[in-house]
Amino acid sequence: MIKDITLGQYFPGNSAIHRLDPRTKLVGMIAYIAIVFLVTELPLYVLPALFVLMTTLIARVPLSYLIKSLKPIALLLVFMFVINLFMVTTGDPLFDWKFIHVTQGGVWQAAFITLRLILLLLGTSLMTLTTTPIALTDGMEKLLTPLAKLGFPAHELSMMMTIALRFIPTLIEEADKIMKAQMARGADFESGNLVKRAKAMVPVLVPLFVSAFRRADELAMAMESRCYHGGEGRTRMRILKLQWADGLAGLALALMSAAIIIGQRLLF
Amino acid sequence: MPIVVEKLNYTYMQGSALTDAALKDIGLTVRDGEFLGLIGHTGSGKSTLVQHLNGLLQPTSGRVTVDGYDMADKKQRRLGRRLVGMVFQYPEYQLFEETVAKDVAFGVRNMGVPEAEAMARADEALALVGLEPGRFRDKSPFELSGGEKRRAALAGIIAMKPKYLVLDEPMAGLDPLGRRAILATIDSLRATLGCAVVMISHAMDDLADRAERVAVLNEGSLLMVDSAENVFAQSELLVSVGLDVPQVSRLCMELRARGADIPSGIYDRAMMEKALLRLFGKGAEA
Repeated sequence: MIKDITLGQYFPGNSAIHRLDPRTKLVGMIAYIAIVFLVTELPLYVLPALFVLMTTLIARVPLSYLIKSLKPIALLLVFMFVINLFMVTTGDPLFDWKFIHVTQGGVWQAAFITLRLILLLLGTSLMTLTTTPIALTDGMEKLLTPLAKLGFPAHELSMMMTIALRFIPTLIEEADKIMKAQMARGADFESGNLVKRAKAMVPVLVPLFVSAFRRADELAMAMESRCYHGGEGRTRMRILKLQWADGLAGLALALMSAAIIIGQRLLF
Repeated sequence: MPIVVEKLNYTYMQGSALTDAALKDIGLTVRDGEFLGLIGHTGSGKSTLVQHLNGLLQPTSGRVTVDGYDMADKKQRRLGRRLVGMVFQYPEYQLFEETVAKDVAFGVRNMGVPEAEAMARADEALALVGLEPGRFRDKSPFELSGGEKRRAALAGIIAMKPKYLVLDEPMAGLDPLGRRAILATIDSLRATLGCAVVMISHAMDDLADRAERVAVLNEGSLLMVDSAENVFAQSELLVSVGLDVPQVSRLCMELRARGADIPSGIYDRAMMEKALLRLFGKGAEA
């Protein structure tokens, strides 16, 4: 049943990409997004595409795994492509039939937008595929630390995220158990109209909430009894340290954006 | 008519990288009115197996029928499921209604029984599990103590008057008093309702005292299913697959290992008493 859901899409490995500092990956991803938006000419998408391909190969993540991350937005991609194809009517007409007009500009625009979306998604998936959720929240906390001086709860935020991520599988398992217990008492989740089905969820949601609160209470107690008192003065087991590989990654991104800017000036 | 399990195989996460064969080729019959104990090491597939008995899990291959109802068929499953009352581990976590009586009546109402009769059956079930209806009927289930919650949850299954009662470690996490109360409830249920009981337990002594037959699971396969005497007689085999044995059996094994002349196959106190008396040459007087 719902137990079969895999959450988070971390692909275990020990490649250079996996070992990169999570801060590098976070900042790198933002830079990558900016770079993709920087491109205004279709052929120049070759560069970010190459970048994604190279990173995937270095990370030794199967390409099929990366492609799978496109599945949830496959429908959106098709929709965007079709809309752009028919709505943009600049350039030479290619195809004319009654109310359907396809122009060169339309094809170009459709390919451009779709490719942009694909590249954005592939790049960000690549990060979540090669970084554990814990490392990501760690990196986020470290990046947000300067803001803590202004009163921004950086540590609290990342601790909340860590705990939330940690408890997703637990709660799924719990929901599965409770659903089965209620099904054994004749509860029916599969038939009836929407209202009836929503009502049928009450016997699952009430015990699930009760147990979530109980768990939260127990966890708070366990943390306090181990002297947890927030982020101040707290040392860490894994200390994030920038290495030459992080510099290399930054360099690659910088080179790519330079190539795109120069390419756009000179070639188009 | 019995519950018949034939050539049952079950694999978790079929088709993914994490496939895990949980049950292999299980054949088992739960007879009318019997007390069947189900034992096995943690992860041997006991809980997975009992979830097939009322169709909560569907076999990867094989067949389960409850009194002739094929549990793979949606319509027949609904009818078959009513015959099998399933009490999960820590059933107190399934309570959700405003009052104990409403919660106990939940299953009965789902069977289509009219409200008034459902409430009457809830009272009846509460009395059976030792929660006085007058005192507990209108309490919130969340006000009860741990042991009381467990009994209220048990009442919720009993009110449905199942022909087979399946219990997955019903005493887990209770204190000795709570354990005894649950066991006494199960015994009195069998006496009054005559339902068959399938009970998973790690407490071998409790099973040795009650079970007519015992099934032993090991790593997803049925190691043996036989009368309690024959199963507990093989203490050495049970120990070798990482299981506990009744305390009397353990004592026998220890005594035999030290050279005492005690026959194998002794697992309850009465038999032990006789064997010891015989050993000391007092068999005639006793």
